[in-house]
Amino acid sequence: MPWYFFGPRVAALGRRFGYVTQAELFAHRFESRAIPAILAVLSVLAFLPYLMLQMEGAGYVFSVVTEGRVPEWAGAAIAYGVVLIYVFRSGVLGVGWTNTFQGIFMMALAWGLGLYLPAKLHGGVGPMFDAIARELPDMLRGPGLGPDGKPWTWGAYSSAVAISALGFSVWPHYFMKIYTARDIPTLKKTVIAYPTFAIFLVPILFIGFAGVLAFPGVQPADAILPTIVTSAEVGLPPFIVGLFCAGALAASMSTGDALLHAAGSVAVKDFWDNVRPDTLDDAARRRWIRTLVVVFGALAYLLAVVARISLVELLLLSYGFIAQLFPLTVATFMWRGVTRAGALAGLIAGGGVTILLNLAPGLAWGGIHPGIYGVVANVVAMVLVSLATPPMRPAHVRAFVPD
Amino acid sequence: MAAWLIVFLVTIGYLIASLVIGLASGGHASKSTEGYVAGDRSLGFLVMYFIMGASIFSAFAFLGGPGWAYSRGAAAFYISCRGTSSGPAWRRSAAGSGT
Repeated sequence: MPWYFFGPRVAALGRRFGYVTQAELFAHRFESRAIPAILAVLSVLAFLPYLMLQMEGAGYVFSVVTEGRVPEWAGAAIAYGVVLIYVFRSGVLGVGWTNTFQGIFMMALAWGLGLYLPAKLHGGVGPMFDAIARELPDMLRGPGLGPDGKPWTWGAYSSAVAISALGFSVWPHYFMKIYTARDIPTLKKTVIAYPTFAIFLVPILFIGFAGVLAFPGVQPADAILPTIVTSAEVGLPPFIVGLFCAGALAASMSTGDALLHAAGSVAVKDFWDNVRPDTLDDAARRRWIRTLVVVFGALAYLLAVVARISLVELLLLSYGFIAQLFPLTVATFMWRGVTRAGALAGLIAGGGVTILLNLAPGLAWGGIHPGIYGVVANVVAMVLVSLATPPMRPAHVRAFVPD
Repeated sequence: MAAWLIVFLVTIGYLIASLVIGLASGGHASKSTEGYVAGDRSLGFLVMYFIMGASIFSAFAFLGGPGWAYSRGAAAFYISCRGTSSGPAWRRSAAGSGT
């Protein structure tokens, strides 16, 4: 939703000054080479565990539905081999058009299974929730259960929602898609229509609820979807199970391709071009981006599937880190007084507090997400340091915050 | 034909379709950095809609979403609020499944 406010401004500035990545906007606004270089490193660090997760998901689904005949390493290699080929050749257009195909495919599958399975196992969605409410009432009482199976606290729930909502709008691989829109009306239309996509998560959740009473005791819980789909009791024909497998791969690939494309792009445009300015011409830049897409793909695959390294901690951190971009984005468009030193101070304070509270969770009061404390520290540091340093040239700043 | 083989072939069919669409779509872009990274700022509503939607539907939403609904009940509606994807819950269990 924040896109509704700053999306059109970002797109217009992108056109005027030729930005293609998120950090180019901040680099220009704060006339800084350090800010984009730091953001590029943090972005790649945040993308990597997220990409590994998508690859593991692809390998896992492949292996489960073929009863182990296609091992996880081979499944992940096949799916991400395809992704690397189309991202390498076609760039963001390959990402966009495959996402369109994959998205339509997933929608059909989500609604098909999400309505069929409750009907098959419980006689419908309504009767299913009635049965759960009767047998396990705690489950349907907001905000549900925490990771430990005990009722979740509202503080933890709402701060997790808040940090995700803030962070979501500024994830670099996602933010840079603002520049791909044909024109401002197209972007506005997308931002308005886009929340309808969340409706497609509802049938996906129905599938999980359908398993609560019919398939008790499945461990790990994430195996519930493959368990139901492949169970003899539900008796889905193999062709439908195949479509399910393809849908799960589509879910993984349509996120993984954007991450790979963005990782290569920010490493060259935001890191290299600022650390070693003017060493690449446009053709070399494009060649390096494509090369790094393959390098990052191979690296994530080796870490996730071959070395099986767990980066859970990094993944937790990455959300808190990315949320620190939110105050910076708001300040860029709302407040002329924010200075380069203020922006850097905010990022450092926010990132530091996020790391600290991840290392020492006991300090975070009330189970509230560490990223929230980070955002508060970020805003305080940004405002104080900006007020203490001389403002930037009004003529420059006016391009970002018009009268 | 064995059931698992049908499943496998359907999946491969999907992958081939993705590959063909992905390769065919790149021909229009200019051979520049702006073409590769921003698609020459040419994308229309349909593709923009699905690019944004794809970040909701990731492996986490597809496997973790039902997993949360199954084990944590109403907490799963969090996933539709947060939109995006990734989650330690799925990561841990993927590592734990050990297949």
